[in-house]
Amino acid sequence: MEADEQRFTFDMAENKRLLSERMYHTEDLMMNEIEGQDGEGQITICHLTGLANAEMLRQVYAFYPDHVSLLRTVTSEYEIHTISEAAKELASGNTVLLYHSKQYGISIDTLSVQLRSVEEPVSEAAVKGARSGFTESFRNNLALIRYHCPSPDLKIEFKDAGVVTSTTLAVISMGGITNPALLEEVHRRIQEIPVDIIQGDNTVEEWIVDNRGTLLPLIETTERPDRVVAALLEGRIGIIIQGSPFALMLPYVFLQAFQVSEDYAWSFYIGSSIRFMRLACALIGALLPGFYVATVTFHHELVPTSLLQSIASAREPVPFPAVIESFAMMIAFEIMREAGVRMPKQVGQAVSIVGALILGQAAVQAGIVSPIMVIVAALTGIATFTLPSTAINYVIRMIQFGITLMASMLGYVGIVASVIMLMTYLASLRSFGVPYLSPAAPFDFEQLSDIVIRRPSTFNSKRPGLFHPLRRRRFREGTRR
Amino acid sequence: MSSLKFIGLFILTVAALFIGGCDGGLELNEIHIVHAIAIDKGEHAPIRLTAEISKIVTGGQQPKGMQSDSFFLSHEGENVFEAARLMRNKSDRMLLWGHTSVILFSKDVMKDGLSQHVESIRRLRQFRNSTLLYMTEGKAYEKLQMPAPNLMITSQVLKGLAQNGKANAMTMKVTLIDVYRDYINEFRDIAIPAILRVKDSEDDKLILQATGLFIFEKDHLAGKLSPGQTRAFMRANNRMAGSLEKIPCGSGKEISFENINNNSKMHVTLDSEQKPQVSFNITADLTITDLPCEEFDITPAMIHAWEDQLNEKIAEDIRKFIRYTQKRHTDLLGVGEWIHRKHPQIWRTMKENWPEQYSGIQPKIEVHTRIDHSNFIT
Repeated sequence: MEADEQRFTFDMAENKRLLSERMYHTEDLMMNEIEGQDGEGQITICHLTGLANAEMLRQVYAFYPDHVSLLRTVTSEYEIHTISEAAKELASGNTVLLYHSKQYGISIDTLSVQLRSVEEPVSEAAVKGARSGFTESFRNNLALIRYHCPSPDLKIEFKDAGVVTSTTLAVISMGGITNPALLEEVHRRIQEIPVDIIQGDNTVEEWIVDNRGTLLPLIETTERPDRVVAALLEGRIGIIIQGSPFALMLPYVFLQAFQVSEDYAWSFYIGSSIRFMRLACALIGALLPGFYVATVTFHHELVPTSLLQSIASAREPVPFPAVIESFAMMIAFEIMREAGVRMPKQVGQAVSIVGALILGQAAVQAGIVSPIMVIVAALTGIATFTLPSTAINYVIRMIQFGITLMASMLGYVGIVASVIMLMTYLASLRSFGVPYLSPAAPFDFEQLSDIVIRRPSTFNSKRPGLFHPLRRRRFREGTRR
Repeated sequence: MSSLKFIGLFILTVAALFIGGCDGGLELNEIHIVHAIAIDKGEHAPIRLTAEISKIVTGGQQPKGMQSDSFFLSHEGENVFEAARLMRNKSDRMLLWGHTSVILFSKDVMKDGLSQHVESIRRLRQFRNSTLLYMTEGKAYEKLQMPAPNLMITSQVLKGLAQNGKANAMTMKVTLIDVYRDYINEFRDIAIPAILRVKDSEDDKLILQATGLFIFEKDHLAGKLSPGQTRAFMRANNRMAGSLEKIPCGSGKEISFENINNNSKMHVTLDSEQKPQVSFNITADLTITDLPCEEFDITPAMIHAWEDQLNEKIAEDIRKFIRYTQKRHTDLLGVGEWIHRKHPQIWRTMKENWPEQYSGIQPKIEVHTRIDHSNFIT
């Protein structure tokens, strides 16, 4: 656009006309003139109604210039010289003051949008530990991180992404710990995002990952500032996106999907056993339906006789092969889960009751599925819910369909083949250059021992080498453990 | 081009999976589960095979599990494999043999030799190593079809009876792999537990009972051990977990002891004339369970006297058992294998006339019993 690079002129009417034109004559753009003092002449105050804080605006209008000076000291402000810059500032909720006598204006941060207050994270609830979660407020999210990590080493860099929206991203790292090469790579990839609009954290994630077509999450997302801080202290990088209540953390390895910050809130015995149980649940989630289908179709000898007798009795009236029965239950479970998520909370309860009790019971009585399959589907579903990473949760539920299909064709051989293929695929992935299966492959016992189990904090004298931090030592020299 | 290759490879893989895999699968409602088999002599063929198959009962909230009823199918054939294959013609579903937990042989069929049956069953990969073996006098299939007091499936009765050996040492658990290993390796001669049909004293109902052992001399059926001999065998062979012992205490009454612990060590040596010498060192702990004799105080001297009586009785029982096996040239304890392992060169010459050598052994038996608890307050 022609006005994009247009600098302010001495003609205020022309400036106003160009600004209005740049913003397509939007009707919520307010431009009011007041008389400046100390020879400043006339000043035009521009803002978008609704975005700017009314109280701050009232003070600006009523008590200029003293309060403006005061505001300038407590809020961020900087000089602007072009129509385009002014339009961008206005769109961000700032108030722009155009000086008639000068060829520049100043932008004052007066953004005020009604957003929800800090609440407990919905997707990462914890029994013990910090309960604050990110909100849609970009500024507040950064403040939360600063609050959880009051260190002068914490470094925040702002980047704009999105051709139309110019959404602000904050790239957060720890000076002296984060590897500069990694930080540079993150900046480079963010710079190359070509989209019009950053709709949320996933848009950024999709554009900056190493492998864009992958099923698995190669960047971790979290709602918890304490997790971001923990990640930063490991030499990882956090990204906060304006308007998103999720932070991105990278690089990310697969086994981190089983870690929860709460693990460190309990003794390491409890933390380790819970973490280990999550790993077991992931295996149950991925393999149990396939294992069931393979067993009742191919490997009858493996089941204890009395159990086989019971399964056979239960399956006797079911007219479908075990694989069809299994798929039917798994799909039914997915439908109920999706319905439970989409429905309002009050109705969600009803969905689960209808789904679990009425549908399950009726399906068994009608002879469509066997009771044991209901147990398998329920256990599988519940097992996947123990996984802290929602993305991994979805992935495991998708994988279980493939493994069940292979199991129905080849029995246990099919399961083994699927797991080998899956592991090979996982081993081929990288997250910002870090092998996705590390520290299991390439094998590193020292680091694996803190990922599979929760190692006592006193043993964690070094940061994980996976992310190549500049400083690996965590404790002061000579610390007694 | 590379995408075409990928698609081709994908199609080939999927086709291979479908062609190679699906064929081996069997849905549970396409099979019958065989729980036990009985092997008898057939009328028109050498082997009559009878299979106990559980009925699959549906309906009701809870599956019946092993309380389901069972039915039987029989067929004759030249061997077990042929009879089993032909039995499929009578069955509406595929028969699943992998859960067969008991094989019951008739004495008649075993008279033809042990090896042919054990080897043919071992060749059929369906049978598990842990399958229990039993033998019975008369028709094995009749025993298999006898109603049980509590359970509907006879194989469960026979599995339960195998556990009795732990309590009374009158029978023992013998699996397919036990017999196969001992027979092929020639470690010792084979003993297979006997199943009897007896009247229950309560209501004159016929029920199954496991007591005694059929014994073999290599391939040939050599005889049968009585319950007392079975107990002595298990004690000498260090396979006893618990048993009941009695000694007289005057006026036709007997003191009863529960044997709670038994340890037996067999030593085999060769004397200067290269003749085998066998000695047993047995220690046993017992507790008094019944003292019906006239009242008297239990004193340490009396306990020592009972211990001496028990030592003599146990030694005599073992001696009788060994004499019985010597008469039948059955080396159930594996004395020959001891010599084979310790003196392989001498065994080479001794092997030929081992049955005679074994018959001439005079075992030295040393028993040390200890009465742990009198179980009386005074």
